[in-house]
Amino acid sequence: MTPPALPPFLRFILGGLFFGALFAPLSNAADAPKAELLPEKNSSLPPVEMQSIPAGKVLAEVFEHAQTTGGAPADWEAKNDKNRFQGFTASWDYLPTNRTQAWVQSDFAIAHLPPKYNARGLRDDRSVPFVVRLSAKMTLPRGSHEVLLRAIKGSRLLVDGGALLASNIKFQVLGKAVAADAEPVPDQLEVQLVKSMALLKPGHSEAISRLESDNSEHLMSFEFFVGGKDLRPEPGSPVVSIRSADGIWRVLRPGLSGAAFTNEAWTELVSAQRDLHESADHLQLSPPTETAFWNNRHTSARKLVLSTPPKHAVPSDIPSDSMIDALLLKKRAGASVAPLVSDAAFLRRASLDITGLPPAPSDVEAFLADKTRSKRATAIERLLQGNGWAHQWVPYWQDVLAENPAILKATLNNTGPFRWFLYDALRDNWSADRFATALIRMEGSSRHGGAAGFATASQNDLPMAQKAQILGSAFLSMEMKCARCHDAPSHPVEQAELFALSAMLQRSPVEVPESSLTKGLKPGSHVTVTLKAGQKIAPEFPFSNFQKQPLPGFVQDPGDSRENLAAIITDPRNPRFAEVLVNRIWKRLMGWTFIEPVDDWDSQHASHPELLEWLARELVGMDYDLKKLVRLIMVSDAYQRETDVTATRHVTPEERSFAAPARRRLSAEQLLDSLFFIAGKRFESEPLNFDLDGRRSAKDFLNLGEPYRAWHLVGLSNERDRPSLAKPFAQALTDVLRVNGWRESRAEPKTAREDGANPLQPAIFANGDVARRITQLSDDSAFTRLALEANSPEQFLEGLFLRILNRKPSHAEREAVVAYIKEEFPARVLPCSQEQMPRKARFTKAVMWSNHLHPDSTKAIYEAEALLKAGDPPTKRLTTAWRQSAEDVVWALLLTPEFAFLP
Amino acid sequence: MNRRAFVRHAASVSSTALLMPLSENLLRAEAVQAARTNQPQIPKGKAEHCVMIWLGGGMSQIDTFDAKKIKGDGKKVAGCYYDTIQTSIPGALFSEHLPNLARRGEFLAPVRTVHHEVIDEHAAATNRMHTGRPTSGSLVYPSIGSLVAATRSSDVAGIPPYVLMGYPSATRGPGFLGPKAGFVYLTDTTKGPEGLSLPPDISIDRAGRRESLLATLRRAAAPHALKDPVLAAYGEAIDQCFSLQNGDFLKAFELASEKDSTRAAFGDEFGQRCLLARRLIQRGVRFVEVGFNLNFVNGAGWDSHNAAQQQLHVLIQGLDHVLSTLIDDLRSHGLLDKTLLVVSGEFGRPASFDAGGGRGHYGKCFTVLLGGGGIKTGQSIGESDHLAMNSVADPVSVPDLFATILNAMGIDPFKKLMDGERPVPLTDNGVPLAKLFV
Repeated sequence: MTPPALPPFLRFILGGLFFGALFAPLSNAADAPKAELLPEKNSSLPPVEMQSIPAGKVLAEVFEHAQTTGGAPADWEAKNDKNRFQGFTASWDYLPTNRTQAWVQSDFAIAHLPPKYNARGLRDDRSVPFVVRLSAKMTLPRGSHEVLLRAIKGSRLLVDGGALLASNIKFQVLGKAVAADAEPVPDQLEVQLVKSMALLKPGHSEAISRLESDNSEHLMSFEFFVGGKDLRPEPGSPVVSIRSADGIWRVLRPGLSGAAFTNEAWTELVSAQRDLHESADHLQLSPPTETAFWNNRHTSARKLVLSTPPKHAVPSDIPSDSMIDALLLKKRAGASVAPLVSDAAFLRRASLDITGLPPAPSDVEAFLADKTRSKRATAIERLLQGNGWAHQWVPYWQDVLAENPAILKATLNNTGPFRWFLYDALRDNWSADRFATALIRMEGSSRHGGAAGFATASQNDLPMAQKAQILGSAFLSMEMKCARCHDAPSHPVEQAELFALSAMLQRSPVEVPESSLTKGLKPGSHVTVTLKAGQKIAPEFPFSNFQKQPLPGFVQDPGDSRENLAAIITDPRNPRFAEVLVNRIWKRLMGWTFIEPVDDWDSQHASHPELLEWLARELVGMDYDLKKLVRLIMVSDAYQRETDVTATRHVTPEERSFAAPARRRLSAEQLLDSLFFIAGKRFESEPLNFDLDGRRSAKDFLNLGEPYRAWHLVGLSNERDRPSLAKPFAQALTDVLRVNGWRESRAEPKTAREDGANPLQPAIFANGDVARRITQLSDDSAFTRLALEANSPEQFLEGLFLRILNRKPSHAEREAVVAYIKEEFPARVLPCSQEQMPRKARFTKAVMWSNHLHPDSTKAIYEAEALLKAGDPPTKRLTTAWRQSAEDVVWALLLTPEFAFLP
Repeated sequence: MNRRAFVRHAASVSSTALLMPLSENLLRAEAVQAARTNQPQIPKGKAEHCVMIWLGGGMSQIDTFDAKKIKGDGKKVAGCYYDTIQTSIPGALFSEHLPNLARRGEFLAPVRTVHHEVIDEHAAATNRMHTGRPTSGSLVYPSIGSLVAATRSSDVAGIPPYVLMGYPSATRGPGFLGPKAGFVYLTDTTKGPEGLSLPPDISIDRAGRRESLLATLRRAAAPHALKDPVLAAYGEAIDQCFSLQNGDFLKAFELASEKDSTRAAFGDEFGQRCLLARRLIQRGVRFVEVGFNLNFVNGAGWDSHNAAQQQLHVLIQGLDHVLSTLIDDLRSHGLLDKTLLVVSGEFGRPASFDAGGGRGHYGKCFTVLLGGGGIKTGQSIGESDHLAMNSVADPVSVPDLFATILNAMGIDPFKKLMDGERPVPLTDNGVPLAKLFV
């Protein structure tokens, strides 16, 4: 193979050969077949359009739909079964030519690959393999540089179109497997070419080279493959790094600026790129046609509500922000009401309710200092504008809609991870009717976060019957669980009706499976089975009290029974949908609601029918915008009052005349996220993925990524009980969630979690591995910073109270804590240089499915457990005795009931 | 059974027992009714505790408790991988690696004809053998440990009824019963249960200081908290947490307080888990699941595909040694008759070999070992064919096995638990194995 024609201004030598003496001889580049560098069949991506690269930036482009010469399909979408992830093997000989996505970023790295969205704004699958190209106009200072590539699949770096170096397409196992799934367990730190750099991710190959630069501008392009035949589209962490005259390895970017390429730098880059894509409009989450369609629907709905008189008249002279209080107090008939909560309590309550997190100490202080009268309303607006909303509401819908993905061989009624659909829709504040419609249409990617993931139910004889049941309880508060197998004794829905709904979701008649019919019923039982196995039930909306003919302009494809079902459920002439949402959201904010239980109205009636109807009509009038509904409730005095201790009691609708919230415990997710937020620490969990090197069949494994919010976590799928399949760090996180009511399997929908108190809940704060990391005053802890910066014990404890309980301490609390920490306070700080600060030991072994049966993998997991148990190393900048006292205070504050409850 | 008897009996079973989707067909349901009606009343067992040893991966029955004289060669010829030995159970052969258990046959009852059809995937099969049922789309069933926890709470206040030594999973969890029927778990006997044991770097003194600081802070907030029943309930949970942590339950984990000879007799980590199981039972814990799947011994643990078969005897010997020690130990403490032993896994394995010389998954007929617990041990239940792959007599369904375990613990297996307003029977129409009780 002749080397490619080189630009005359660059001299380079293939790195593995050149650096063999300097670096470990494991260089993949050294072993890399040079054939990979140059396509034999002269295949290349379309040329980079120089004018579309902004100065100082990197242009990122995605290319799909490659064609192989071996008669592979030109029309990938049509020929490939997306659920089975066929596609073909990645090869530089067959490059895709169809540019499907592009954006601008700062670095020659993909730390977060943005998803692809379809025409309706849902996550969709790309063809596999696809190629990502990063290009920039680069001027490297004259002289010698070293460049290093990392990628999980094949990658190459081109300069002015000529290939400079490449990493392997086919991963080479370093050593010999002792059996199936028993490959050697690599220590990534030993494997990687440059030890001072961020840890090499498992399954990645490297290539290194030196180049001489002429100090003039050249086009540099980094191309890499993602996925392949039957593989998940796993981007890995592709990156180009460079070392120039100052000897520091950095991620390559125009201008060669930035920090050294360390683990921390990579973590920052992940956040930065995520933020870039979260706020960008290039993702087409709201394509113009969709936006227009929903705007039209909302205009019609608004007109319809305005022209239809309500069943229950409400006073016409009360402004809408006061209506809630007026109607609640009317029912209270003069009984006394609780006072409004303090400003600090309000901010904690509102912040947790909107963002799922407590307020930052600086926000509390600013809020307390603010003297404006409208500051509570302003705070509500600010919180609603922030990015917490989706994090607060995803877990709710995960429960209600039974989102139940499995990261290993899904067999337990598992769905796809439609959590990402929920997240996208909530982040972009899709109107509730659009959200429900997208869910019912079940489109987009089934395994990588589209609404189609909702359609899946592994090992279920009639998935669509389960989906109909879930949708019924979620959006209509009709409990059809019993109708799954027989006509229900206590519920009005018959099995045939549930199956008719199922047929609408299936878009075809459903055949009654024998296994869905209850057997052995005695004659005269109040439970009856009227269907026969094999009987066909046609798609039809079975309930008579709904409008079945959609309003003009309310459906895009009238022939689609799913869309018709969605239109019937969300029809503004059908008040049920809006009322169900109002009732659900009121319950979540107030702890009690108009109709209980919220997912099964059946024969229940509302405690405040006029308020429920008014709010539901407001919701339609506000274009089904749930943020606006939440704002309306939160500006009321009712929301802002001190809790009513009687409001948790179960009382009849007639007796329900509360005008304040009930006492509410933080949800499992809020507790876990709060812990890390107040300590300013990260989860540092293993990836929620067993197939780290991305070489296993896509149908058996799911990668849910590295979690950074509680709702990302998932059951850890170690039913095999193998130590080598354990994920100790993630397990410590799910331990906190489990005892607080989170379900590691969500096979069934659920709205009201078990929230009874049990001793394991405080215990996990008292002694758990996670709580220990939170209390530990390590150098990366926000509490340590507070301890170092405080001028007095009082100031330190005020900071702690603000951070943990979001208020100032009372006199008694101040006395108790000051007595505990005042000794030694003046002498608490020790000199300690950056170099002397303790380093946290890193887990550098790569344990995954490919090697989990190797004896070394079990040993490695035990090492990880030991690291977890060791916790975060305590700071040396504080004396041990004083640090421990300070930790004890943090510990005690976490254990107070106040921490676990909303004020 | 005549038609009238069937109808009469069926009428005596509450209709609510039948609200569930049933996995088995109508014939099966009728057969169960018949079995129930034809049998004399099955007396309830007297066991107060259960230790379930979980052999994750699926134990090969022909290489252990249902050994056969036909010798396999690890290649084309199907059969037992080892020699067989006689046991003190009439008609039962064990493999040569179970000599100690073979001598203790009077305390054992191998159930050799358990069967189910879920063999493709470990998680689904593990779920079946923990919940006793197929999965359902409309509710999550509780594990056997949670069923026991919900129906026989500990006699001793503040003792958790269900302790798991193994990795937490939904399959081992409480399902619709909620956290109160959940487990306390640990994965390492030297570290104790997650959340309840003091971290190693927190001294007793420091823990005491922390608790009194917390008490002061709670007192400072008291007027606020006391009038609120929800906060008060959480306050009680905090108190219970510390009494658990400072009380008798945590003492169970102080294995070092056992005689050195006892600890040595139990041996490795699996042995220490079984010793801990006994100490938990002594303190009133009802159900202990002990995971034994240290897969580094032979690679795949009990999931002995391919080369893992070659070292399987090491695991079998470990089981033989530890379980015998546990039986002797329970006897010497007068606990064996009160403690039902169950050795189970997600499925069995075929007598034939895969291309790598190991064994695949098999569910048509496999063995679950019962022992102690005051049941009629010293006999085998069910008989398999010459390769231990088909039932020749008395097939035992998973629901029947579950009904047997519950009945042995004095729990009415026909009882129902409530999922909201929906009654859910403890087992999927299972009937206890009469021979073990009469």
